[in-house]
Amino acid sequence: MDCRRCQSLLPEYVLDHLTEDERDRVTHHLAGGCDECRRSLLDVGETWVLLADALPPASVPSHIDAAICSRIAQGGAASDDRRPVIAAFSPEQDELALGDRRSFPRLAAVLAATILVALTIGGVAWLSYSRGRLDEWQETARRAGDMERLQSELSQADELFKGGRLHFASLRDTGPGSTVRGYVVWDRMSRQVHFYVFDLPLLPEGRAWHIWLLGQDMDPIPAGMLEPQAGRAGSILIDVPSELGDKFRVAVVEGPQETSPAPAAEPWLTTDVE
Amino acid sequence: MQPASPRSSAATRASDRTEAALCDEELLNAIRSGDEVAFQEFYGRHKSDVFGLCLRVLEDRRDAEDVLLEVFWEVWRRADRYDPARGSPRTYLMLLTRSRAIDRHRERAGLREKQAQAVTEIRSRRVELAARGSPDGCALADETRARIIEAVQSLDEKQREPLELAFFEGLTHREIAQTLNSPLGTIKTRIRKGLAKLRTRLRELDERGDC
Repeated sequence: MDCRRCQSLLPEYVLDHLTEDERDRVTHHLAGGCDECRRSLLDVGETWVLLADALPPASVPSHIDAAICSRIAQGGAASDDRRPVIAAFSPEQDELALGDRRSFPRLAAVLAATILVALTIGGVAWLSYSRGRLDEWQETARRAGDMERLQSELSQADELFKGGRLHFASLRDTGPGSTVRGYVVWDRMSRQVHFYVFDLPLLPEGRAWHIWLLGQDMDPIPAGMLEPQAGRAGSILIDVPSELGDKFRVAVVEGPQETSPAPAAEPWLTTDVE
Repeated sequence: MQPASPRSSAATRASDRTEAALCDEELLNAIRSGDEVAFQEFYGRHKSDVFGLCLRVLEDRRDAEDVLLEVFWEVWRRADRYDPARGSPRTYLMLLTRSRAIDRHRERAGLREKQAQAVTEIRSRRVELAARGSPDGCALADETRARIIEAVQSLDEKQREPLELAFFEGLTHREIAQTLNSPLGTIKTRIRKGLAKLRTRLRELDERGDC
């Protein structure tokens, strides 16, 4: 996912309105250390919250304050992980901190604490072992699930192509003996083009491959740029404006790295989508 | 040459929110360690704003009280979920509140009914946004809130409506497009531009506050 696509999805990402796939891709992009997109994420989040900040604050009834305090006091520790596993034992006092010293002979109390510690250590060891086995089983199940999911997705894609929702086209260069150098899958329902190119010539510094969408009697619409270092292959998901309708052309044009209002040259790769 | 007043620069004025954010981060760190006093401070600081948002989304006092309890209980139990990379503690808290309130709202209303009602509510409601004297439990100063209100009101209706439908009613971009009978691309553009304008306008107001 490129930064342009990521940033276009951030408003929905912050509100958790993306599909699971889109959300994972944005998260992955952000986790990759893209500073610009991370800054944008902070900006977008804080801007959304301005709508809440503009609301009048409301007095909270005192019974709610009391309910919160009571719940915190009864609920105890903020995390269950911090609850002690074993009873406190105080060597100085030489007795269990829980229970009445008169209820247990000293030796029996020490023995009980020792057994408890041994059981706990054994229990933790057993949990680690079984957790390891559980992780293995889960991994096996996950792989089996992945294969099943992949097969299911391939079947679904097949149906979508047959049903006319998806359209496939090859991106060819415009040279003599036109060669396939990429593919386009046009999803009519989501109005998105999955654009994939490979084997592009490397460009000198300062130049980049620009993607344009061309419609009839319309100005060309910029649809993204392939980064120079990835100039040999790349994929982008493009939103297609509704003004283009269902029939348009996808073109790849070489140009300066800065964005420009129009293609800088004739297309080098092109395909018609309909 | 007189030294600049610490309160006269736009950066400092905007950092009124930043200073509070630093304190909030310290409070959340303490809450993570089970510090009840820190939690009470955090709760006291933000409860009125959180309750205001709950009331706006749910329009039902009892549901709003339930969600308020739920939100702060979650803050107490899962303060470790706060990620500074995603925003300030206040941003985290308000987005969490919004999410829980919308979940409760969805439980109560079917989607179609909600979509139909959402637009009616947004259009018929003319919330009198005014920086009145604030009750206890507000992290924002009246002056700050007044600027934010002015920035929100500076949006034209075509930008403000989709923003409010997305934020307060929980509609996705696609649902907003269907509800308003507008192309999806148009809605996405309006939301993107609306957010950008809100940000820019607030920055301008922060700088103007100098004068």
